[in-house]
Amino acid sequence: MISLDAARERLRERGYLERGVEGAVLKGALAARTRTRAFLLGASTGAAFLAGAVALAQTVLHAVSSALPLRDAAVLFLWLFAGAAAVASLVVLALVLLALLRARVRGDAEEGSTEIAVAFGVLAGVAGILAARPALESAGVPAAAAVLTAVAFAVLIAVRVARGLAFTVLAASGRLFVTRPSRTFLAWALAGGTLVLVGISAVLFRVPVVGDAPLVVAANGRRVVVVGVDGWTASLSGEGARASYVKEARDPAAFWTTVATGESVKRHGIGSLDLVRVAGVGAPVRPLAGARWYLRSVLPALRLARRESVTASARRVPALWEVASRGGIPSLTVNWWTTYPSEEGGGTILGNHLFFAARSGGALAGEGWPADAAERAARLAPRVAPEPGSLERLVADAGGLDDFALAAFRDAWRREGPRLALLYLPGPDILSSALADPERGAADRVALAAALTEETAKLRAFLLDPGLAPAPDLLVDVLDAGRREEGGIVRLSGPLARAGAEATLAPADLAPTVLSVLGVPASREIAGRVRDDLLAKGAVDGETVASWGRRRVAAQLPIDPKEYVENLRSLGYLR
Amino acid sequence: MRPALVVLAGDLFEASRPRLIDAGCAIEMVHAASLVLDDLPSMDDATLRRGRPALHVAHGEGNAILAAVTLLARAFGLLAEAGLHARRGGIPGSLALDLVSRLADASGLFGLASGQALDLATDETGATFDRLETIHARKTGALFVASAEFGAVLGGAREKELGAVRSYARNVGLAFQIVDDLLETRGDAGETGKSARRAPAPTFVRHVGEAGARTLVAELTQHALDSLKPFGKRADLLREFAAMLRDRKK
Repeated sequence: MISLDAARERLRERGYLERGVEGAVLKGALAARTRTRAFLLGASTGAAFLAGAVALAQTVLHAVSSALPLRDAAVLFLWLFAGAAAVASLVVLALVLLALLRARVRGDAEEGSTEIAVAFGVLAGVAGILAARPALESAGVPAAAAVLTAVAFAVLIAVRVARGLAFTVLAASGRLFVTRPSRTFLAWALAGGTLVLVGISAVLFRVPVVGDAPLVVAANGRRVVVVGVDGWTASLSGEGARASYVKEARDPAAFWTTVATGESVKRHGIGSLDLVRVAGVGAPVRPLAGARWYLRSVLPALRLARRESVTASARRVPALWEVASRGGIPSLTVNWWTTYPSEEGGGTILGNHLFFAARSGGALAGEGWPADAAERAARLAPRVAPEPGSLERLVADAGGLDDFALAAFRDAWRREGPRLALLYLPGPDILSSALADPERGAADRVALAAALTEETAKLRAFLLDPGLAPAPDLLVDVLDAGRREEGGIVRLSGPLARAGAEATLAPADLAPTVLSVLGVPASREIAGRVRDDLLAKGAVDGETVASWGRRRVAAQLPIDPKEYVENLRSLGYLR
Repeated sequence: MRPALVVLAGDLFEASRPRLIDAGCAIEMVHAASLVLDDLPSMDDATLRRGRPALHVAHGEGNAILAAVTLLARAFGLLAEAGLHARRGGIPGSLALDLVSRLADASGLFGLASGQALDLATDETGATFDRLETIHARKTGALFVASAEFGAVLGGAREKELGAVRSYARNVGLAFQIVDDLLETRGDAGETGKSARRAPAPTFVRHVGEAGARTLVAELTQHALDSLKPFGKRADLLREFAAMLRDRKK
């Protein structure tokens, strides 16, 4: 005996009481006059359902991750459906072939449709969890529920499409001698599949402990300066500790955000310079796994989307300066990657657009915090620039950015005397990247090499003697080899550095190490670890805290102003 | 019953009555042939059919087989002749070929013959719910669907209309079979007009119980009626037909 509900369900799966996905898939296929037409009808209906389910799930993921309003999400769904339809067609084709193979290998095709559906369901479930993971990490409870519901719905539809399609193929192939497995087997299969999915989820998800309680900081009065030099390939002598590292990502925004947060790219959310603005969708979209290639490559190639640079609003975890600020430590951040828009809560910030905004005489809103600090720094920027697109412009920008950042940094250091300061100097990377461009002529290369030599000498002088008063207790020079290279070195100097120490480190270790020196307990939830082997004895006390707290992604992701994006392009950061 | 379905479905689209009768006859001949073959000792080994001795009992096994073959040949011949005489009230050639093709499917690989083969190969332990549905879909449902399609095709139904009629017939066909199961469970040979020496195949009643089977009949019939909504009052006779099959006592 079976229950009435089970009987209904089985009849629906076989084309009666036409409801549900299988009913829709079967309806056309069973009516077909030829086998080929039956395959085509079943496959096209199945592909349409699958594409709709995948597009819906992806839309929810992107809407949550990028905080899209409902209208934008609806338009995005249409675009994603177009891409999903192509993928679904291939998946359905594979399912049809699998079902045909299954029918051929075992003539009676017992349990065929269920076997295929269960296998496909497990695959779809794993893919769904992997796709949902980034969105879940930044989502609140309601959004996470929406994401999980959408993914579960998509998996359910995928299973039903697979089952309906397999049944269609078996029916249309004239080899339909199907009996379904006992309910017990099916129940065990589903329970096993669910356990596998839960197990994978448990391994993949690291549920962070969220806490925004005030940090208890040991008051030690120390000062730490972190200088990031991009594109540094020269040697640099000096006392102190040295450590080499290999980058997780070459993308400068991703790497320098890892340095500033102590987190992996996946956790901090700045995985690329790019957001995508899709035609008809007002807000920019952060491409996620599953639709990344489609949104970042296919649609832009078709001129249906364009790529935009990412801003600080996309960062999901607090940066050094924000943690320090929560602990009551005054900080200064100059020209660091993705510091636009600059906001309250992170000490003094002179953002990474400020140079360009100041040079063009444009508005300074969001370019620094507080506003008077940004205005004061803006006066240090040059007011004229060579012709856009010219080699002179590129050289002037590379050197000008460093000069401006150094001048603004020195001025603010002297005025404010912060205990934590970060300075980013991009000049060598801009010049060396241009030098590596195979399309440049010999004359350009000679000019670039000369400029690079000059820039390196200028920065070497600063690194060897920053001339800061009061002098920092720890100076951390992050000398990255540039966007084309895999790694770099870190040099630690000053009274708190362990002289002569040599090691390798992860770039994520820098943030907790620097904060520990300032008396901030290390967060146990982040990827980075305090590297006391590079510090003088007693420099850190080993205190930890569950979390430094989280940083909510803004409701709307502001994109960089168009002028800045053009500058990024001219400097070779954006293609 | 099946010819009636041909005519009722054809009336829905105002098909020519003589053409419907030709088509209905072809369907009934195939159905009659299938009954003769089913009753043979090598199949269900039935002695009683419609309350009278089975054909092989009355006239011998050889004659029964020949009668069945003749009925099958005549069914296809009738459709072919109707196609040849399209100008004299027959069926246009392409339509006749369409009907021949549908009838071949319903009586062969996707219908009666494969359904009977499955039936013979299925013992009590192998008669799962799904196997039972497959057997019935082929032994009963296929010819029901073909009957309704015949009427619709002859009336020039569009694809969507054909789909609606097909859905009606498919659901009514299964409901008809479950009613048959219910009658066999409760009645005797005198009421059903059938008797077979071969152990009776498991029925839907065994899988879902009497109450469950009645509920399924009601739901399948209701779904069949829902399929007719696009036709409005024009389909009233088909609605009554479905209700009649649902409520029949023998």
